[in-house]
Amino acid sequence: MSEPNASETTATELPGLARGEQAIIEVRDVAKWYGDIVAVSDMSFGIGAGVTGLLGPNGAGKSTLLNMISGLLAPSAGSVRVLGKPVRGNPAIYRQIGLASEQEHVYGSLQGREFVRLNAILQGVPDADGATERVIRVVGMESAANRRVGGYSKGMRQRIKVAAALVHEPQVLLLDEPLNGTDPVQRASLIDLMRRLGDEGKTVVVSSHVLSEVERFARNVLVVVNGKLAAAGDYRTIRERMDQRDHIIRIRCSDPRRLASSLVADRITRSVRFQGQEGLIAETDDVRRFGLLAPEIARREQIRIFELQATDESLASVFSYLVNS
Amino acid sequence: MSTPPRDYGEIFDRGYLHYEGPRLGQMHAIWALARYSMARAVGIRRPWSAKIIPMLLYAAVFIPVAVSIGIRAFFPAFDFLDYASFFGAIVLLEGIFVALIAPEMVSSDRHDRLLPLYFSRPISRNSYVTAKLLGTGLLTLSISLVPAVILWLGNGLLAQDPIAGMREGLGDLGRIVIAGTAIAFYLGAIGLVIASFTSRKSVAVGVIVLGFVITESLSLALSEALRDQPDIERWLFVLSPTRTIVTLVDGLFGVPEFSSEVPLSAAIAVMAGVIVICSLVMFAWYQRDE
Amino acid sequence: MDALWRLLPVTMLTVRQFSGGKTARLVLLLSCFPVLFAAIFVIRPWSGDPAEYLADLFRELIVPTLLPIVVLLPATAALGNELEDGTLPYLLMKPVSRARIVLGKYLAIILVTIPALIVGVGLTTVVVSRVPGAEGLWPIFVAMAGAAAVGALLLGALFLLVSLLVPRALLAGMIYVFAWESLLGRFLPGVQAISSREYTLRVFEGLLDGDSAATVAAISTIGVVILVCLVLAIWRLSRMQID
Repeated sequence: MSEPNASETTATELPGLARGEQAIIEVRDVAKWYGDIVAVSDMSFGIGAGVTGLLGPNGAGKSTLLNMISGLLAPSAGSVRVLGKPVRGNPAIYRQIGLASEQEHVYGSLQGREFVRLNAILQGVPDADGATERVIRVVGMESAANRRVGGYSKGMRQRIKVAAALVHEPQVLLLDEPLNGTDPVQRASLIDLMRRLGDEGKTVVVSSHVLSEVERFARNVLVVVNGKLAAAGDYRTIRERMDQRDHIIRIRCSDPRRLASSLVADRITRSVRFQGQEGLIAETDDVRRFGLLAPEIARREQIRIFELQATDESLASVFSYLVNS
Repeated sequence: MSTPPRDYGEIFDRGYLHYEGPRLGQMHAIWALARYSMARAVGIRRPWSAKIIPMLLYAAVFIPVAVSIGIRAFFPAFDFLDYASFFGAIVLLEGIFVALIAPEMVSSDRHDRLLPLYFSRPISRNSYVTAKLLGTGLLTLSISLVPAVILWLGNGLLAQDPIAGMREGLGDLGRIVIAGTAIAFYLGAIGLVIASFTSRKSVAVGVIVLGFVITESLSLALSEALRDQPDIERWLFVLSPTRTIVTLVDGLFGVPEFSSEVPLSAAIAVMAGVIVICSLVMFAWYQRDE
Repeated sequence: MDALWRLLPVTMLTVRQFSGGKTARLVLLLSCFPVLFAAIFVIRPWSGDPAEYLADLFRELIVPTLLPIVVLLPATAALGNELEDGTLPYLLMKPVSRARIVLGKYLAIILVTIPALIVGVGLTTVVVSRVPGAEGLWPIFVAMAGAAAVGALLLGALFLLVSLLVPRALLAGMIYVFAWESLLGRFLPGVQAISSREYTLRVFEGLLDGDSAATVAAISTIGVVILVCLVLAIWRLSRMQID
């Protein structure tokens, strides 16, 4: 009888995963310390397929975490498994993992194409040349592939690193601050790439500061603060769970004052503020109900609503709440 | 729906204060950079791994001094280490020391691309070079001068009559200071100019140490080949920094077989000349825009 | 060329790094330095026998000074550069055994040093042969080439390991070669036994005298040391952590 796969029996116990979701990356009770300094403290989580954002302020331990997941660093305690197998001391697993890190420098004396090809050869890709060309096209570096990597701009270096990490089509892709140094066009294409990979069922972990963009491609987030896991999961769900803080809704309508007085009459409206001739800012602790309530009232009172928006649903507000609390 | 542009606009001073007061000049900048470079080169304020090799070299130099003083303490008549021999023995260690600090001084700035940062600050290129030359020379003093001074102190204090002994030995002290300082800035300048051409510390180390060793061997080989032509042979020491130093030291401390052949001033002139040439080369080299 | 990259990617990468930097050129230049000394000797021979001079040049200059530096530069750079530049993850995060990485680097060191050494030693022999009456130089050349090659293999493995253990491995190596072996070696006989120079010279003398027993003994010891160094290097690499 075969041993039950560890990741299946206990997947639901790991934060960050939905019920029944297969854990591709499992981090259990992991800690990392350097003498007296604790970089990562007792973290457990799982990461499944799709794009997951790894967020946190500088020095929170994101890079340390990524280095442990990629096997470059050994945890001081706990275990890290990828695709059910340990990463450390297991070179064979790298066929399934790709890492593009901001920290690494590149071989300055090689051309871009040579660099990617070297990675393809070391990965044992059957058609190294073909794979190299394909991946160079994917990151949009065809015109610069013949130049020395040492002469690349930062954004170009980022992209060639991503190419090198993708050339063997790994199941798991780890990206440490991939959007740093990229211009808006490059950023958009990288984000597009990440989304596509996520849709294909690959596991993409992206650590980033650029919250407004992480929102666009990350299904789930892991928020790391001071070496600890502060939150995990879909960020909108997290936001709803943050019920100490009221949600702020902005409404533009034809008669804000009449709308306001009806809203105030209902229990769920905490406060109301006016903005200009048509604007109304309401605070509520129950977004869902408020979202149902406001149009109801508007219809009853014959008020036209032009715009209704939850203004701090963004990842940035979730993030700042978690970081500052 | 766009609202018409408003007429209101204001710029606030967000707290960037202009400093209008007196500024410390280039001298201060030079000294600050020299101090910082010296500390970093020898491993201060850096992890222990940056300290091992300097420690090793210091140990290698101070151990003979300690041994000599120790022996002197027990056998006052026994002169274990005279200054000429001491200086001669540590030449190679001084060379390795310079090979350690010179690349740390200039190659790492180049490797880490700090030069544009430095030169966009109020430190001029010449001041940068001056600071590095000063720092290298001063730091090398710690190995070319300090041990010898301690040896002198030991000898003086252990003499029959310390005060008189030291007064008599003042001449020696003067010579030690001249030798130590000349050696420090001479080797320092050579090492620094070599290191300033590369951004890889290991290449600089290799070329410096090799340079010293190979020029010595070459010079000795030429001496052998031309030993029947003493007029030429006596100047061959110029080709080798290590031999130049030995010539200086032997001349200063009156080692018999040397003092008659080569005027001491020639050795000093060569060293001074080399220091000047190396400095000029560095000043010119750092004028280049990267 | 292409096929070489496919077969020996780590080696080709390292060789490229050497040629790109100043290392390879320096190695070749340095290996040819003895030619200068030989030239001086040719112009002004000061000892009687050119063959003896050549052998002494090898014993006094090449083995103690030149050989170590020539090998040290690439040996400490092979992995040292990767560590310093932070490019090691590209090699480590591959489904390639750590042994293949270390051996690939070792091969690159050998490819860069041994040919250069043989060329240098050969040119020196050629120059010395210009001295009228010079004969019996060929066996000396063979002995020099053989000993230099063995010495390079030994020092290469040794310093490949050291570069993984100690920062500033090149500097540490220089101190070992110059301070340890020349200063201490002169005063403490025990040091001779663990000196790489000693074993290289044994191989040289063995080849020169045709004493196969001594040669084989020295080479065997060297072989064991090389093996140990490489195994330790592989082990160290597999335990390496990168922040």
